[in-house]
Amino acid sequence: MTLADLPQEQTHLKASLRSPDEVMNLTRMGSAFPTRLSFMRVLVRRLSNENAEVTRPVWEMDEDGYGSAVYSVQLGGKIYSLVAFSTPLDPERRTDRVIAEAWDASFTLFDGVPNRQDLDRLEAQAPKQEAGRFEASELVLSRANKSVRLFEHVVDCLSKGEQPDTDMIGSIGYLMRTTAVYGNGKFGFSDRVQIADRTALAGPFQAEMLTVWLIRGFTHDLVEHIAEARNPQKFVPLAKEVKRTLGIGNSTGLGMAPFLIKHNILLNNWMKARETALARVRAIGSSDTSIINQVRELLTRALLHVDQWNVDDQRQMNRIEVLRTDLVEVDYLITPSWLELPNPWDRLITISAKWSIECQELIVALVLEPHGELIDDLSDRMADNEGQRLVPSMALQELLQLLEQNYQWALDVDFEHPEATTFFWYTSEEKLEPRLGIRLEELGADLELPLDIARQAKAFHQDLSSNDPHQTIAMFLLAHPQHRHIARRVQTSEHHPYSEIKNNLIGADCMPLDILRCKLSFFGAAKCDPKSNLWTRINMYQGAPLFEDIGNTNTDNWWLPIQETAR
Amino acid sequence: MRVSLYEIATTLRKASIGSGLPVGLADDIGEAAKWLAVRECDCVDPVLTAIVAGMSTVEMHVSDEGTLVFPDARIAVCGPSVIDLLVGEARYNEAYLINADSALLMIGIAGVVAEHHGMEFQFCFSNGAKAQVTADELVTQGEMPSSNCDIALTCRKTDVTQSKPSIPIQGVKVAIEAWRQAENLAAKTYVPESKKSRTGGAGAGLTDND
Repeated sequence: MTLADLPQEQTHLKASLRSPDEVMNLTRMGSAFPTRLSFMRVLVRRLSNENAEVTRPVWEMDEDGYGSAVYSVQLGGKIYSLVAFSTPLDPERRTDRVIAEAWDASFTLFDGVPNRQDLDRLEAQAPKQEAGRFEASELVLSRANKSVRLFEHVVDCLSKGEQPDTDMIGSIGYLMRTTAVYGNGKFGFSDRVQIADRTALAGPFQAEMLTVWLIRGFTHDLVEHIAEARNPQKFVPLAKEVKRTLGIGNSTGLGMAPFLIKHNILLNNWMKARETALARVRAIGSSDTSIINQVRELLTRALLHVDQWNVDDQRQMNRIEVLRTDLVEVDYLITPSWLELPNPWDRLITISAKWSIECQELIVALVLEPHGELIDDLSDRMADNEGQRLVPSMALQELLQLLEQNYQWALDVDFEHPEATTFFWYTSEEKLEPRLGIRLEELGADLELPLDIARQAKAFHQDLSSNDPHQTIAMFLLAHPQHRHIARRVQTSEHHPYSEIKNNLIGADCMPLDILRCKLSFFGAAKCDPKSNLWTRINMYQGAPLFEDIGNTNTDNWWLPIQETAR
Repeated sequence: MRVSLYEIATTLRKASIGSGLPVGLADDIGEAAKWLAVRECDCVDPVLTAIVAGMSTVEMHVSDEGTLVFPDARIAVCGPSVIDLLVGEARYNEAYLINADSALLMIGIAGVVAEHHGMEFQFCFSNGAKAQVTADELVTQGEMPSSNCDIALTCRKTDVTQSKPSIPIQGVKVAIEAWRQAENLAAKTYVPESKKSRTGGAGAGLTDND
């Protein structure tokens, strides 16, 4: 493994990146925690650095909170506007499924400031979501449903001059949850390539993250608006501490899995950035008291965060309970005097192998947190504007070598065994939702999505082995076009070591939830709340700065949010 | 109607798979269509023309002069390999495609590789038209043949890989009928709805009025 690209003064420790074999398996990926390189954190830092001001040029809501609103913010020299529509929804039609056809609220992120004509057009299209048609002035499309219990409770309390129940705020954590956030050219709106060279939105999912942050502010305003209309005399605004605790919920399903498999250079870049950051921190010879104190404070926060993380899913709850025990041991071990000894972070990562993988990954995020000056530049390297390329001159023997070096995990799978092909991934004709089918029980395996990377790699290896090793892949693919897809991936793995999830994604032991958690941790979402092996609820921007906080000091201190009242 | 580049690439990729082409070829066709669209060329009809017959075996031989010859050249099937061989095999620098079904798709496939590998491709068509494809530009001379033409294709290395064509800000205009045909082919990749399959999506199994 190559040396992390460390600042020159730190190379004495020769810290290296963790190997893809260690990092790119679903057990570890499914234990990932948000870090300061997560996309929400990157966005909020930028908002803060630019002292971005959010304005609300349009607020046309009736007393029940139905109508439209526009929020505008200048970022990187461009103005972006969230256009929001709140509409009545029959409870019987309220569902978080992608297959829903109506929502409590719908949103677009508009490139610039919309005029009346734009708003009229969007009012007709945005509530239709996937059935609507959009223009290149739109960057993101989203929708959200109310958390009915909490939304009404908060309205009720504020209208009576009271603050909402903190336990309820803590256990639910959001007023609305989004059920889809679409970007990059879907339904006719702007292609990512249009914004890829804008500094503010060049990073992965920055337009989507901006949208969700603005939606969060909208939900705060909406709940206050309804409460005030209900009882103007007694109404009180939502306390700022409570607002900060309220994030935006999200139901996330299998769509994220095919995305990560398809965009494997992007996955590589995310992983490599995080692993490079870790290697840089591990290379630090000694840390001063200020950093040590920060880590101690962050660990205290992590203990509280994990203590407040309770889910119904038994598998995840068991892991959380082990994590709680492990973190107590970590807390006991890493006293200031232990951290004052040489190479504190490398020693901590090394010794963490004795704890659970959840704990190991939390420690990774923990040690990155106070080292922004050392690692934040890596967030600029997480996008991919190139894509995969075939190198047609490569000889088969070189490909065989790459396969055996980088895909041994796939070559070891016995595909004669039925359990190796239990599942198949497919796109349902119902709103094109990606789903996972059981091969022997459901129809559709003939339309399988190409996520069977391990099986493709093994078949490729078999055919490569029976051909002239000096032949080029160009000549080979002329006769074997079915291997074109995997050939490109194998070549990609040469310079992108973190580009492949090293698990058989159609095997009986595949846990799609692990893929989702990995991606969501890069978004910055915490408190993964699995509802099955196939989907999870999460909370985004919980603890994040509010609109009015931007530009104040300390807007970057919201890693692993905790319920304010529990402090 | 207007569609985005993303829609061009994904819909035509899926349409190719729906027509029976392997994923790897479909990937190339989607990217080639996008490359054409950015350069304001029609990309939907050229792809449909090329994919509608589905998958077939590629026939190829090498002439006495060392030219790659593809008789009855179905571009969706042989196009990527034509370019692979010209770029990847030093011994070949010319290909002859007989009765090619989609000249524009062949140009698109070459265009993507020109960007990736810094190549220049020269096309001579049997109707007398010519085209030059580099990472930077597409220069045509004469009317591009829509189908069933012979193509003489040569390439050389330029090492110019930076392509900065202007991206169509307002999306790409496509003919509705052709687009619907592409969508119908793409729909062949979708699995019909069933009660069991519904249980697998995000949000399944919970009341959402909580």
